[in-house]
Parts: sequence; C-alpha cells; structure tokens
Amino acid sequence: MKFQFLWFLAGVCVMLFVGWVVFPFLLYERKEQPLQFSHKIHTETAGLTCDNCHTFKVDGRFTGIPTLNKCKECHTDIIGTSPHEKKLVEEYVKQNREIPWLVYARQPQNAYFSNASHIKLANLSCDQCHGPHGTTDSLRAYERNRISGYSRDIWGSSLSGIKSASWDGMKMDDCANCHNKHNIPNTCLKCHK
Amino acid sequence: MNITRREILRFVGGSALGFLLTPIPWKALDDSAIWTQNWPWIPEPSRGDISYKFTTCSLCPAACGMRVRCNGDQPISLSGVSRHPLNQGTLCPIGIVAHHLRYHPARVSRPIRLAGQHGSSRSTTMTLDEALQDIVSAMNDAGSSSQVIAFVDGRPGRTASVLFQQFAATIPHGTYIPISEASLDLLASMVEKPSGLFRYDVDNAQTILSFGVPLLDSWGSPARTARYLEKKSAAKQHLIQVETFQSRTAGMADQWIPLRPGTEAVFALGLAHVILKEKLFRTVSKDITEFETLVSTFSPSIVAEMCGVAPERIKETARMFAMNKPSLAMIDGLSNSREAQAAVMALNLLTGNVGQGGGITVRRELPFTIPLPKNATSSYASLHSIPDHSIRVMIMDESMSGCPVLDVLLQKKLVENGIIVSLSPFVTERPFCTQYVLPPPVFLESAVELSNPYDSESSSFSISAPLVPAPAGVVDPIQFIQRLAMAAGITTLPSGTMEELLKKRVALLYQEKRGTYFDASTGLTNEVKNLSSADDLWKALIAGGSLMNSAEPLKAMPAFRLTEFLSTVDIHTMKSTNTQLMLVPLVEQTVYGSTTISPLMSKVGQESGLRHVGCQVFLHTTTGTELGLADGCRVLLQTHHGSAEAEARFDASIMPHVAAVTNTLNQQKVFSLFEMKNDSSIRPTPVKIQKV
Repeated sequence: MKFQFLWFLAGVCVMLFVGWVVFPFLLYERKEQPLQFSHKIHTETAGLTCDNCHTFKVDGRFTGIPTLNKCKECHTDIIGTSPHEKKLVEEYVKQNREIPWLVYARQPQNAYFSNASHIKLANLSCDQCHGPHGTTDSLRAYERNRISGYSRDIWGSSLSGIKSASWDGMKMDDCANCHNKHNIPNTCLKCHK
Repeated sequence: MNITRREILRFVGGSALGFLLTPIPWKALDDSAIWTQNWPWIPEPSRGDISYKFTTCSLCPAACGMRVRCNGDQPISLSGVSRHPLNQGTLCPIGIVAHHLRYHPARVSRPIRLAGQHGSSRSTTMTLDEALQDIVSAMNDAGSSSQVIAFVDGRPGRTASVLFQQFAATIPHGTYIPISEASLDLLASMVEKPSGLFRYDVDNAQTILSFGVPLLDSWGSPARTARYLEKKSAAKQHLIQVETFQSRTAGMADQWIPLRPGTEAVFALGLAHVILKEKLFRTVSKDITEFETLVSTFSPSIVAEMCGVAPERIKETARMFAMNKPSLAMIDGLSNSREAQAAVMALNLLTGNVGQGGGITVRRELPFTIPLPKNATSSYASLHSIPDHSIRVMIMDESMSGCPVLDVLLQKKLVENGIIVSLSPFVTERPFCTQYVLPPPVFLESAVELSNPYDSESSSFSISAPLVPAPAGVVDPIQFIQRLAMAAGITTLPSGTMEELLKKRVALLYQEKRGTYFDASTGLTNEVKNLSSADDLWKALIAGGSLMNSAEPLKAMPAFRLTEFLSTVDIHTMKSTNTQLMLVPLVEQTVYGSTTISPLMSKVGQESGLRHVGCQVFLHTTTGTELGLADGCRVLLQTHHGSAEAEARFDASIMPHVAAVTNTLNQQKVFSLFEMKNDSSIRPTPVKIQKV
C-alpha cells in the first residue's frame, strides 16, 4: 500500500518538476541583445540623466528607446575602451544602421500605451513599470515566448503569475489592477483603439 | 525490481494530477490565444518615428483638409485639419479610413480584362499596351459605323478633364460627357446669360426646400451637418425635406413632407401656383403669361390629391419659401425627372433666388494651363441627349460616383457589343459590364487636383499629395490618355506628367494673385499676392493647403424662360396613376452606397444593412396586409418591363401604396423593372405584387 502511494507521488513530483522547471526553459527562447549597454556607466560616469536619452518631443510624445542619432551625439568615434562601444561605432554608427534592440516591454499591436500620460499626468516613476533597469550594468538576455511571440516581461518572471514587484508583469490584468487601484476608468477603448 | 502494470498506471495517474498543477496547460492555452494575434498574414504597421503630414482628401469633390499621422513613411491614421476653410476639422466616416483603401481586397494593381457575361468576375491580367491595342481597334470600328466614343467624366474642371475634351474633340464621333449637378446645368439653360458656374449657397439660406437632396447625409463636407445643427438650435435656418422616404436628412430636418413617388414636379408647380396667385414672386419671366396658364391647373386641392399632402400644408410651404428669405430650392438631379428639376428651378427663378446670397450664386471656372480646343463644345453632350444604344466605346473616369442609377443609365446608352474601359482601382459590382479595368493609383499614391467643391462659397483649388509610392503596374490616367492618343495617331495632346501639368496650372493661378491660400502646417490663411513665387504656392498646396478665390460679386437676376421646360408635365396622365401601387427604387445615397469603402467601415453599419440579402421590397404594413402578404414572405414583382422575386418586408416609414425595392447583391437588376424616360431618369412604375 505504501509503495503504491509512492508511485503515484513520483508521477506528481516528476510532472511538477517538468512543469515548473523544464517547461519555462522550453517555452522561452533566450536571445542576447545585439549590443551590450551599461545604464550605470552612462548615468554614474558620464553623468547623464534618464531624460537626456529618453526624451519627450515638443508635442509631448515620448520617444521611447533612443534612435541611433542620439548615440551619434557622443559616439561618432570611439571614446572609451569598451569592446561594446567599439562594436557600436563600427557596426552601427559608421554604417548608419539602427540598432535592432529587443524591447523587453513591447506591447502587442492592439494595445495603445502612452508613456507620456503615465509619467506626466499620473506622475509614475519609470521604475514602477520598468524596475531598476536604469541602473543596470549590462543588458540581460531577452526571453521570447515561443508560442505567443511576446517578451517574458509581459507575463512576468514567474509562470505562476504571482508578482514579486510592481514591474513584474505588464499584462492587461496588471494595467487593469493599477487603474482600479487609482480609480481610473478601465473601458476597452482606453487602451484598444 | 519488477515494475508492474498497475504501478505504471499509478505513476501516469500521478503525472496527470501533477500536470494539472503545473503551468503547462494553462499557460499554453493562454499563449495559444495570444498567438492568434500574431499570425503572419495579419498586417502590422511598420515601426518608425511618428510624423504628421497634410494633404487633401480626393475621394469626393468636397476637398477636405487632412492631417496624416505616419509611422515612418506609412500613413496610419487620418484626421481633419481644424482651421481648414472647407471642412473645418471634420471628416466623413469614409475619409477617416481612406488610407485603408490601398489594402482593399477588391483593389487591382495592373490592367485586367474581365471575361464572360456582364458582371463576371473572371479576369485575366494584361499589359497596358495590349489594352491600348484593343481599345484603339474598337475605336476604329466605332468610327467606321458612326457609333460614339464617349469619355465620361465624373468631375469636370480638372486637367484630366481638359485632356478628355481635347481627345473627344479630335477624334471622329468623340463625345465628352461631363457628369455634374444636373439641376444646375438645367438652370443654366433656363436663363439667358449664365455668368459663371451656378452653386447652391446653402450656408447663407434661411429657408431650404430640398427635394431628396441628402443634405445632412452625404452632400458636401461633413462640416455642413455640424453648421446646420448649430443654426437649427439658434433657429437661423429652416430645412424642409420633400422626399418619399424618411431618409436620414428627412429625419433631421425641421419639416419632412412625404410625397407620393414621382409627384415632385406636381408639388413644385403647386407651390408655384400659390406663389403666383398670392403675388409672392419677385421676378417676372419672359413667358409669365404662359407659365401662369400652365400652373393654373395645379391648384393646392388638385396637387394635394396627387401628392398626398394637405392643401394647407402646400400653401404654408409656398408662403414660407417665398417670404422667409433668403430661400433656396434644391433637387437631386440623378433620381428626379427633368421636369421635376425644371419645376424646382422655376421656384428659384420666380422668387428671385438666382444671383442672390443664400440662393443660387455663381463662381468662376479656374483657369486651365491647357487651352480648350475651339471646337470642344461641339463634342460636349449631356447624358440625356445621347441616344440609347449608340456608344461603342465608353471610357469612364475613376471619379465617376458610385451611383447605381447612373450605371444603369450609362449601360442603356451602350451598343450591344460596346465596351467600357473603367479607370477604377477597384473591381467591385460597379463596373457592371466593363471589359477593361485600367487601375489608377489610389488615394495618397498620386497627385490629384480638386477644384470648385460643390459647397464652397468661392472657387477653390487643392491638391491631394502623393505620400506613398504607387505599386508597379498601376496606370496613371494622364499617361493613359496620352498613350491612347498616340496609339490612335493623335499628336496634338500636351505631354507631361500629372505633376508637371498641375505645376503649370498652379503657376497660372499664382499669376492671377487672387484670393487667399490656407497653409495647413500653420493653420493660417494668407494673401496669394504676398507669396514670392509660384513655387511657394505649389509647396503650400502640395502640403495640404487650399487656394480660395475671393467670392464673385452678386449679379442681377438674369432673364429666363420657364414654360418650354415644363410643357411636358401632364397633370391628367399623372392623375390616373395616383391610386396604383407604385414601385420605386430604394437607392442608398449614404456612405453605405456603392462607393468603395474600407472594410472596417462595417463597424459603423447596422448588421442588417451589411448582410447580403438579395432582392427585398419594402411596403407599409397596411399595404402589405391589403395584398394578403406577411412580413418576410416571398413575392413576385411584375411590371410592364420585367418581373423579379423578392422578400416582402413591412416598414412603417414607407408610404401606403408604395413598394420600395432594393437589391444589395445587384442593384442594376432592380432597375430593369422600371420605366426609363428619354430624360434618363428612372420613373416610379405601376407594379403588381403577389405571393409566391
């Protein structure tokens, strides 16, 4: 009787291991960014602030990830010793080729999200949704969901859906929860135009 | 250790339970649902910097200013330009999604030949040279048999129009048929010396008497509806809609006068009778005595009996129209008879509305770079003057409206083996018997000029700018006509691309230094004379601007004649039909008409209106009950001209003794049931309806 129960329990345990440990490895495809970038060096050593690169346009729109033109303002030539900077100058700046960044927070086409209104009207800080990304020394691998095609950051780090921080997950539920918390209307056309 | 079958089953059972406690099924299900959003054939806008450009909508002559939001180079949304002199920030539902037309499923991007019977969708692609060869051959055949080669132009007044006219004037049996506002053309022939292009001055009218004109629906710029509602709330404008059906305009008007179908001319002459009898007229025509004799038989009591409108209401309407000035009578030229148009225009002439602000004013034709040939006018023809079955080759411009009535009339003019060459980018139901489709670029892909929108106060000129490249294989209409001329051995047509010809016209407009231009990027209006060169004017126009000429000064009422245009109105014949069940066509004149629109427009339509239900006949409940029908039953419609099966639908908005027929699948088929007069209008026709 005792062994009979053990076989059943072994089945449960094996499947739990496969589901919680093996499955995430299979589900997410890890991709390295085309170039390494240190927010830390740019903010601490170069003395830049976030809005030096992540700017708002004159009409109020947020520019998001800066284009190559912004990089060119300082890196028309190699000014340091980093191999990543060398790669930036030789492969992108000199060839005038945009860097194909893999965007962790990219939302689906059917969702309309305005950084400007969240920062300027709701007074949210960047790290509320993006975490301590602005202080990192290197860019972590981008994890692409093989089925949906979206970044792992959209679902959140844990497959259980349990959030460890406010920036852990950017699903519709996460948006709706925050809107509910602050009594902001949650109508469909608010995000889906 | 021996593993038994039972132990394996226990392990599998445990795994199944464990499986449900893992994220595998739930996450896979969720991700699979999201995966459907990313199927490779779902179009995605390209990513890039957001920028804004300005242009002018070219889908209809209203010439609305547009702000185009682009992602990279791709237009992704459109909105109105708030200070634009013509549309004041508004756009119609079709215009808002006009950038989708590039991807329309019915679009073709290379010349095709449609094979088989009329309306066949079987097509073969061909080169432009092959198409030209076939068309020239058909033109040569026509020349030898004295059949007509017709150029049908839906928007006269453009550079392309002048090329059409030149071509028509040069070849034997060539005819240029401009499709313009028929009622105003008729008015021009009623007065002795028309001093410009007539236009309805709707904005400044105090009383508007509209005979079926979809004023608040699809006529002119959408800003008009907003202006009307504003004036209505301030009691500054009074709209009387005279129409058999309660259209959207009728529903929003101050008064709706439902008429028995086909009695518009009688009603208008009834009003003229009251105006003359009560001495409310302002001007005297040269044939007033004959006209008085003619309308003497149209007393309110007789007219009331025929039209189904109370005599008192006829008198009140006549008094309001004549006394609450400025007033304006308008009529839809396509769905009304020539007599009805003449009768309505007679009201304007009698009450002195022509040449008066708030009535019918004039504006000038803008100059052309290409001179019109001296014999150009001899090749002009109005649609009604072309004999039936006489056109061998018909070249239809893209700008032809999608009105099914017009399609049927054109088809009637064609000889049995005639061919239609359609310069349309879409193959839909419209080119009903087209053999050749030579698709031009669509909106946003080429420069298109827009001059003199029908509701602008003064002459104006705008250009729809090419913001995206056209696909290879499309046919530029200007180049088509030039190459066709070359193939036909004509060398007198001017050369140059559309852009080059437009630049020359803009230079000519600049030389006049007349009026103002609107700069879309700044929202400011400046004097043309302050510009330093024609190139500056071109840059302003190609960037969504608009040139507005100063308004023409009002002129004295011209001398006119009435009787000869109305002598065919026979009250006695009409009297005999007023108790019969009359069949009328139910033609959708709104945005859901036959115009090619973005499929996304289906979101703003009622499901019942979008469904293809075939032939339907709408009857008032009492009429249906009298005929022993039930709502939804199948019936047979029989007229002297044909018969058709239809589904009977009861609708309280239809007048008693009227049967309104429509066919969402084949509107042209419906028209075969009707009587068509020589004036090319479709007349209400007596019908017998019986249950199948």
